[in-house]
Amino acid sequence: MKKLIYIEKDVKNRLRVKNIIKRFKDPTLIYIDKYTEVFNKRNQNFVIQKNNPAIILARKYGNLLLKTPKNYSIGRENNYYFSYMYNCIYDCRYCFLQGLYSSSNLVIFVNYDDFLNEIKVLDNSKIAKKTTIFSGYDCDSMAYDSVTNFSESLIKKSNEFKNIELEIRTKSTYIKPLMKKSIKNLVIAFSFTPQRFSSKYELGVANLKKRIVLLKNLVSKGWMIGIRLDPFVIYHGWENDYIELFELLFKTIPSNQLHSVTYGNIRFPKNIFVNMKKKYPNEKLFLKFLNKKNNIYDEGNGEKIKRFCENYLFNFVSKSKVFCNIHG
Amino acid sequence: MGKKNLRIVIALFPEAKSLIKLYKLNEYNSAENIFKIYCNKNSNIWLVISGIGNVNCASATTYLYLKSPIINKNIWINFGMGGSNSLKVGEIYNIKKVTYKTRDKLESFYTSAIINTGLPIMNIFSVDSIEKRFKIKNTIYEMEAYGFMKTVERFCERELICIIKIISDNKFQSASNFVRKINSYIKPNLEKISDEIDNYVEISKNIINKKKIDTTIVENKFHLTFNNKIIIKDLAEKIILAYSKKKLENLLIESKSLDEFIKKMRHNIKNYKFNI
Repeated sequence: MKKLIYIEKDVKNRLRVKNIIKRFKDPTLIYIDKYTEVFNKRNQNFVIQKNNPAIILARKYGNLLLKTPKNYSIGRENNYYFSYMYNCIYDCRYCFLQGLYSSSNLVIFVNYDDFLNEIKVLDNSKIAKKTTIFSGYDCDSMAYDSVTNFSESLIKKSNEFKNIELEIRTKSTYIKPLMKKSIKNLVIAFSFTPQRFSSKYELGVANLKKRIVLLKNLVSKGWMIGIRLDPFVIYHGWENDYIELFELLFKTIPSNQLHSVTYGNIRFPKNIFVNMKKKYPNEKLFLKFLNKKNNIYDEGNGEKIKRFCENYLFNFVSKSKVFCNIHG
Repeated sequence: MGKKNLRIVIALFPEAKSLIKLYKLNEYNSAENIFKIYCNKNSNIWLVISGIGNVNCASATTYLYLKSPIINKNIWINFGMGGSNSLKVGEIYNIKKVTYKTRDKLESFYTSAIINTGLPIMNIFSVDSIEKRFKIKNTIYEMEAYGFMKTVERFCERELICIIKIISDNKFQSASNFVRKINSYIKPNLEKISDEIDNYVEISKNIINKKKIDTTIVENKFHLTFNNKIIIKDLAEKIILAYSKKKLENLLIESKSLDEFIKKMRHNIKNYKFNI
């Protein structure tokens, strides 16, 4: 399918924009004033757009680094995230972005240097040694990297960051830019659910075998690896699937290169959950979301997941490396 | 190809004639008769003649919305002619952006980004009086798209909004004898128009509709207050989705009171094991 690319007039002459356009064969270009005029309008069909999301090339002004939600941590006290992209090429049925945005078009903020400069400022601050900065909150950090080339800019600049810790979170198998050499304070974090679940509910994501192979490759290059089991999903037969997944993952990553493991239940703020249900009204995955605590919808499985992780996860991973994101 | 649900807005009858014939539409008699409306035998394809100008177009779009069945798969189409600086007379375009200059700012509207392989793509600058200078290059000047977009955005998702325009005049070729020439512009493009509209129909199949739950069987057994109806509907939807309609019927048969029925449904949902 042909790609339609909206371009903010202010960024149309940037080299990065030209390089992104070059990635597509004969794209349709539409010039706009501000990305919000295309992206934020309510009368859009997120599900239809997923078939061939348009790209919106824009510049982000202000609020480049944001505080993460409470408990979103891999050990350090201060946690921030940044999103050089909104939305994702994968189609994970549980993803909160489906309820957050009215559009599934991909917004790419091409002023990467502004994000990286902001991180540099934080790196020079007093709290830097107690700070982690996450990429991959409103998008998958690497999934579209073959188009955005963001990782190249990040890696170049990462060598300058002396104190802060950075995490790139992804489900992607695109790791080419990471194969040159590892960077000390940069953690590559992979999100996993068991294969049986993933193949049905994480459309577009490569299978587990492929991802294990690339994990091995990254390990061989010396990268610190994070494992993200968030969301941790409960379904008929989940226990055995997760034990298998643990065995496979932790056999692959030597403990000295395992940075951290996080796990958490599926949970949504009320407005996001309501929007998601509207988009997929016949989805069984959301059936048991009945509990409403502090305006958060979840399945009430938090304790079950916690007990399971304490029983099994600790067989593979030192307790100090495990972080729990259970709500409720 | 499934059933097409089309709502077409066209300024002038001569512009509409070919589409009326293509979709076998007949004049629809309404008591008000504010705008002339046409529809087919199955009442799934409707067309309104708006008259020239954005205000007329906005009014006619609203009128058609109120007169025709409201279905969330309706595709709203604005078709017509437009002028341009240098685009060739007779060329046809699918419009992706409509801009209109209000007193103090430019307002822009966007149609579906998904369908962009059939017809060539172009933008519109919508105006309120006949344009002859065509200052902006590679843009179509016309007089209805703004009124159409401003209205249709209120009830139709962007992905189902389609604007198709044919060039009727440019800097070198004026629009004289416009009405007489219309047919010669549309006829060679009719198949392309029909194919492009079919692309939208295909896309509309992705719209997921919620399974409708009929609470009559419950109402036949128990008296339901307005509040109870909402609770029952929500729980019944979940039971049918998780198990089956038969399960819902069995729970109803087993229950001696409405309270018991609600409890049983809640219990079953709680114990439902999500299976992949």
